[in-house]
Amino acid sequence: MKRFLIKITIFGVVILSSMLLVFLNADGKSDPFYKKFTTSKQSSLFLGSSRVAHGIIPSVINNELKEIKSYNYAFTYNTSGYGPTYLNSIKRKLDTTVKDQIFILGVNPWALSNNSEDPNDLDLFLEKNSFLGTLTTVNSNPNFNYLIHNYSEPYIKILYNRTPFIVDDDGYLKLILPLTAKRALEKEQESIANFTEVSNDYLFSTLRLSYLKETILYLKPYGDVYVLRMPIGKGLFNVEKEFMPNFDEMMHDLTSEMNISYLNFTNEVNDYHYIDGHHLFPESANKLSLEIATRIKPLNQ
Amino acid sequence: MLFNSLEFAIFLPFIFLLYWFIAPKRVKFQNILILISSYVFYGWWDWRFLFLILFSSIVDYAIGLQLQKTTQERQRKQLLWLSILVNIGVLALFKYYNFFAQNFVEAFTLFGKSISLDSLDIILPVGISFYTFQSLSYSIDVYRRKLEPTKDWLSFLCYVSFFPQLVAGPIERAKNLLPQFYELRKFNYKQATDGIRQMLWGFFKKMVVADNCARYVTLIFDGADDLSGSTLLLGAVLFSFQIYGDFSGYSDIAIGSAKLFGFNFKQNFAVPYFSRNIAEFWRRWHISLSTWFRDYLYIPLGGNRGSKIHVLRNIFIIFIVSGFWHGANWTFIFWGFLHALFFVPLFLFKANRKYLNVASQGRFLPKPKELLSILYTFTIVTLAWVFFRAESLSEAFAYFKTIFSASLISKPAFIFEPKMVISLFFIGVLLCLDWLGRENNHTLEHINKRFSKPIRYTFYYLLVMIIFLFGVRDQTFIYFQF
Repeated sequence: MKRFLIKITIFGVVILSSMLLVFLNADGKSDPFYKKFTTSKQSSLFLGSSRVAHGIIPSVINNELKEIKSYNYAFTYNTSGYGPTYLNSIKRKLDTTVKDQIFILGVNPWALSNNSEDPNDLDLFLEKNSFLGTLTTVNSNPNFNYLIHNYSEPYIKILYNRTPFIVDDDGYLKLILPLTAKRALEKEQESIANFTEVSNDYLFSTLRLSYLKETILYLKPYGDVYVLRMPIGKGLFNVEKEFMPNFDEMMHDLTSEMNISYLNFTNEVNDYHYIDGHHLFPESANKLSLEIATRIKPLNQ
Repeated sequence: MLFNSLEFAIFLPFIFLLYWFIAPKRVKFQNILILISSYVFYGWWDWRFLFLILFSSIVDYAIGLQLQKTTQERQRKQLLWLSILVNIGVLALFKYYNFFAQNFVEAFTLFGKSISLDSLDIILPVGISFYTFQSLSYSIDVYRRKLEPTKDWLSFLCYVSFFPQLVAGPIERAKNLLPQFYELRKFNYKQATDGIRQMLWGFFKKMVVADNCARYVTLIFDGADDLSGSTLLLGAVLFSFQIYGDFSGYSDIAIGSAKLFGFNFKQNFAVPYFSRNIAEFWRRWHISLSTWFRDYLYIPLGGNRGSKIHVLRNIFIIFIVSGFWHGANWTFIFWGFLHALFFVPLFLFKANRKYLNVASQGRFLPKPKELLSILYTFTIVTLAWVFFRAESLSEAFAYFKTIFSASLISKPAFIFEPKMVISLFFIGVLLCLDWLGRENNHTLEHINKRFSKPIRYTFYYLLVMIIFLFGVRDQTFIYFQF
């Protein structure tokens, strides 16, 4: 028994050390989310779905607004829709010791909807069992909790991943491979088809709307809160308009009621270029980030 | 609890240390620990169904004792039927009720009558087909006076619920396993290291081979309507390796885990894809189930005795029942029927016991004729798996229609995708190592016998790292549904 235990322990230590070495290599290329859970608590957050993840570059805004050190903590529409799961994760990520910061909350019809018969049933919220719902540690590097329980790919992808995306130090999800205009157009058509299908299954959720309010109320004591609707291609905008025709009015009412600003970029669709009809290319993300900084600068002073 | 989960990675060493350090001197303590850990292992999935295992165990334990006391043959037979009714009844209720109800209603509809029968909204308890068969075999063996009934209730409860084989076998016979609970287990270095090796190979087969194939199998079978014949054929081949890796992997982990606690199970898979005909395949695939049906169904039906018609009837019964055991669907029944059809010519030409040894015994490579036989057997087994995997018979026939269409001569979809290349590469690794180790109880036994320590340890290290890097995590086992 002694011999067995000694051998198995030595072998186990070698194996665990090798596994640890692999985990230490995990970074912004490992997957689109991991790195966001490895940074320390953040004082300014950009929140929402993948449109914000791809579309706002915190370092650009930080350059313009000198007092601000913002971070992109946005994920995808089926993991970071407004609800208790995302709010709890935000609470874990927010550094509450710093005040007078900025918070930009990306909104779109899908982030306020759910694909269940009863869109207000909390148990049926998609994100409940996602990494945001199960991950209690969002500020550790390496984040073993995420790697062991939430990393969905084989671990070889930590060492070698051909993904075209990388998460920057500021949480921005950047496209790093070139994409032809033709392919982008094809991808836009795929997105339109996909969201047309999604619109058949999704229903507006008043509960998500109330959680958006709750998120705003939670963040307000720590700085200025802005609600943002990202620019998207015309085709997808039409799908969203058909799905929720009064969305902008609803957001106007909400932001007036809560005395915050609504930054709506849907009228400036032609100023930006999209990877797939709704996610921005890095150059456009840079342009939009500068524009956001310009718009909120006077509001922030 | 899944073998391929973090919970099990903590559970197993914890129980192992408790077993050998807290309870090494009293067999009763060892058995109590096994019983508790087995119930925790099963209850992790759904504790309510523990009562079902307990119920099944108590019934067969009591019937065993009664069988010993009763000398009248009529009463003994009644007791046996009681055991059969209880065990098969539980199985019928949880697994087959909805199937029979649905088919009953459909049959009436065919004759212009309409009746309604409510279907039961119940979940299938994991492993129910395995532990009911294991428990039932005890009653039958006691009835046949092949086994002394046990008066040791603790050992019997352990026998029915021993965690390594509780949810997906091997279906151990009481004659082999039960006596092992009577005696104090002593730690055996060789047995424990062999167990670790076998578990390692099981994890490779399950996590690297089966679960990497699984993603494409799902993709291909779900999208069969829009894919080419060559892609569907690829899907069928991948499913062959998925189910082999999944199920034989489970068996290896189960047998290996049991060895860590001083137990020996019977071999459940013996490189079945190197079989040279279908009869040999069934001597090498899920051996514990095949032999169960042979001993408790085929032989009582008359086996090979009697007229040819009689034997043919028995062959069809055993294969169809075996198919039905796998699941309450016509697809499984047809799968069993197909295997019976494959088997019949061998029986008629007296070739069913032609290959009792392993392929190319004592040689490195197979002879061309042998290779052709292996390829032929693999092909028919693979084609039959389509029925096993399909959701319905019509889906399976449509799948075949596409396979045998002009699109069979085309480049299969996904073939150059990195994940597909990885899956095919590891299938190649599996086949090579299985071939080298085919004359052993399990594949890695060969590595242990043939190579020096540094090579062995390097190999084990690489294998663990391959499982870690390429393995798909937390995927359930196919046979849990049976």
